[in-house]
Amino acid sequence: MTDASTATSESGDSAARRAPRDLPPWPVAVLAAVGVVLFALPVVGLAARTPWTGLWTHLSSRFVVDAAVLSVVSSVAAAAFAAAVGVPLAWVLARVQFRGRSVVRALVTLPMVLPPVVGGAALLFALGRRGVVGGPLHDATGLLLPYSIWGVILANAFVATPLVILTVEGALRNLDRRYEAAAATLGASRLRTLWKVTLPMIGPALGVAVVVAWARALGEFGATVTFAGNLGGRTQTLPLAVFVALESDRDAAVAISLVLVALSLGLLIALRDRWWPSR
Amino acid sequence: MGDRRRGNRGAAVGLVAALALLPVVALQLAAGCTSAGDGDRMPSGGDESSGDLHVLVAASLLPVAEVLAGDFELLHPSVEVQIAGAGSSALREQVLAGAPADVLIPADPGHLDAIRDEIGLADAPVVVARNSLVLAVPAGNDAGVTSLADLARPELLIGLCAPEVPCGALARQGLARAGIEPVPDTDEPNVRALSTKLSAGELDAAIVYATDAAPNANGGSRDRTIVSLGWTAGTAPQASYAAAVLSDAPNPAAATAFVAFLRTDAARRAFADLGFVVP
Amino acid sequence: MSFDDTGAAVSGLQADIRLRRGEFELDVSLSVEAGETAALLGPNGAGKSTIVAAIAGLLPLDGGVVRLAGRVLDEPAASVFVPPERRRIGVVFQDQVLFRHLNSLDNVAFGLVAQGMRRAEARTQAQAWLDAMDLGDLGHRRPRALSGGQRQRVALARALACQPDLLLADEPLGSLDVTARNRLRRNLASHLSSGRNGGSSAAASSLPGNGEMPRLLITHDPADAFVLADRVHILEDGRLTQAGTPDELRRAPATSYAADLSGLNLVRGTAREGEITVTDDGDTPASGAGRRSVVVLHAADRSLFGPVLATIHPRAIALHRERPSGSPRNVWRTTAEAVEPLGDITRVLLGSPLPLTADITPGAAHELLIRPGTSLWVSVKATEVELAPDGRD
Repeated sequence: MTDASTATSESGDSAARRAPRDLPPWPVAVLAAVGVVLFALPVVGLAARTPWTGLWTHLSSRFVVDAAVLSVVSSVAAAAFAAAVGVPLAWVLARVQFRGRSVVRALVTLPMVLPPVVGGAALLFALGRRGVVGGPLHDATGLLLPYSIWGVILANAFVATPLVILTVEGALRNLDRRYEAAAATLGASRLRTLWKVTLPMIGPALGVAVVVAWARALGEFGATVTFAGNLGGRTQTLPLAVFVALESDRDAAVAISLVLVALSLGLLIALRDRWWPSR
Repeated sequence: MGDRRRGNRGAAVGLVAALALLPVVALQLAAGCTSAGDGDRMPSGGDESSGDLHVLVAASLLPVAEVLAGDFELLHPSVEVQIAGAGSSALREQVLAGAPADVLIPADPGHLDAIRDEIGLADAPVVVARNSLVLAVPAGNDAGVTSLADLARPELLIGLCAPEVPCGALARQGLARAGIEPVPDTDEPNVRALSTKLSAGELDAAIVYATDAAPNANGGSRDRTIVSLGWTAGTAPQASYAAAVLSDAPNPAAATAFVAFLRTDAARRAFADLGFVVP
Repeated sequence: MSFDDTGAAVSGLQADIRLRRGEFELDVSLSVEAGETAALLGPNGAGKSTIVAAIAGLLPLDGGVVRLAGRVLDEPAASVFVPPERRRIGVVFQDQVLFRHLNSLDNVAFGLVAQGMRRAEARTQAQAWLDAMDLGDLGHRRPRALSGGQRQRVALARALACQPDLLLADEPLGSLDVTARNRLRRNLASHLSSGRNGGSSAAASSLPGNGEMPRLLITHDPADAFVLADRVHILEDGRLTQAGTPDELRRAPATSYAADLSGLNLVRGTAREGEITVTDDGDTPASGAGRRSVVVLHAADRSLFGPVLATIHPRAIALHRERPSGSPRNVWRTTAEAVEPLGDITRVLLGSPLPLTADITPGAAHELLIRPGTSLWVSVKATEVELAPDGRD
């Protein structure tokens, strides 16, 4: 009885006071507004420059549709690869102490600091037809990653995977190890613990990581063009299409950019409530 | 010095700049403001050639432009030449967006038309050099390429510039004239990326500028990794580099002197040394 | 069932734990018999959590051996190490550590499924455990939507559901507020003792085999140890300094820490306007057998009504030869049952009507000429009787 009445009066209080408490202090509000303007302005600019009347003609051209399909397929595949490889690697980095761990961590974050073009060139030197690994591979099997969708996916994954690794490693480090200990004392094998306890508990962070990796892959340009080349219908993704269109037809370039913006904004907004804890 | 080095990153940087400036252009157009303000434009000294001189050149001109800038500074010690290089259309976007520039030398004179219409040129553009297209192969020529007709062999890895950029457009015109239908595996967004893949042996043949395959390409300091087979079917298509002084150049005196210098014997020698054809 | 019934010696826990973590060195030998509830009582930093981790298999030993139900679980000398998932030890963690992405039912069913039971069957059993814990209708709730006490009971059910060979409870009441703590202590007592005295919860005792399971309770709170355990091990700075029944510890604490802990008087009663009616029903630790006398204590705190747990520090009890005059509200006549000199204090165990422990100076003891059987007056200030609500219904 006492408990219930206390609880009621408390929630009543907080409801009454919510409005003033949720108002940010003015410096926070101003800086936050600067942030919004910084990110909204380019979208406004793009929209202002968009040739709305001829938009459909631009977007329905074979060249744009091919690039959009390839972009969606390759970025989703790259995000899947980033999760499949990035999560185990993050787990190893967070949970296993071994010599050279900091070297490995530095290595996997390299694609984030390396200019993507350089990353693409490095991939080419490693996995291209004359590459350190790609050469023998090509001679033995005839397999050639550059100039194919596999090259696009690999280049996208190369730049996107570090985002998963860093985010997930951070989440794993923040996760109380006792949850896994509890699962073990209940008889769960290590793999079961990973699958049923660890991954669900870092679920939100993992979701954010994969979405960010996907977005990064969708916008990837430098590594893709350098490693996989640029051929309409085969390796030309939307960012590459924007780039070449910019050389000849600025209207088309702006229209394609708008597709990219719409695609990523649409997905991020749709996933907002699912992945970001609302509390 | 630092500026020139930075310019070497070429087209990719140019794209970033162009994309970043797009909204600015749009907003300026929206505001009915077609050019930057006219204040603080006067050079500080009374000397006819002094102060900073901003020269924007096509990416393919960067190596020679550095040489020429050094020579010009010897003749005009009070002038400091700042060279920036980018893809030709990125150059155009930068200028239209209000980037400080005195002299503009794109690879395609067509870009100067847009600038004449929107900003204005002080004089008619002057062609200072031409660049022939050549069939090029990596050192060793493992695929045994001998003529332009080999570009139609599907089993070879063939690279061209994208049709949207001058070297790609000119190459396709030339090949069409010769009755050859190329089967490219990649349409590289700029010639620099194309020669990188070619020199890495990741392509069997490509059409590049003579300067990319010239003995002195890359400053002549490295082994030749690209071999020119010339244009094996009649007259080679040529790109022409036309220099123009912008009508709102901050340093018109030095700009005019620089363009005049490009026609001198010393400058012509410098162009020829690097494989350009001089008029 | 899971335990070996060849005898208590093999079905209990024998732990000889030697561990070094940096500067800290742990060297502890303790055993818990089948069906026994032992408490490991020690201050923060004494090494309690390390012992939990070592027994549960979360931390390998440097030396010694851990043996449970006839199996060697860890013996570095013999290169034996059984990982935690194969030890069959149920752990109730401090702060519960419930899986926050699972509801209570699936938390309890987790271990059963992990051990190969089909999901539907595991859920049925888990529901029975929740019912036994009076949580039958909260199975769909996630831990976040449960109170501290409810979470603690889910954690206990989760650990017990797997029918472990040992129940290890690490500060099971540590994170609760005073009210929940006292209520749950009662609840825990009934579960820990079910099988011994028939159990106060019929549902719990109908669940399979936890009667003979040894139980080790790790706590820094003497109230938990003395109320819940048959045998108390006192851990100080990585070493066991004493072990014994609560009564033995009271009579002869070996260290000043043990003296401090074991002397604490816990009295259950019913409060009304600051008056606590104490009916000694045998729950109070160290109470003599068969007494049914009634005492009314006066406390300064007049806010509580109903069942309470009163705490009286042994040094707050004054002893007199003659009836004292003046302010103390609580004055009664009793007899000294035992007198133990403990160095700088002398411990006097008092008899009927309210068995309490009083610590006085050796000088005072000498002056009062206290011997077993000496008739004495007891006085306690109302402000020295501290009250907390008790969970008794």
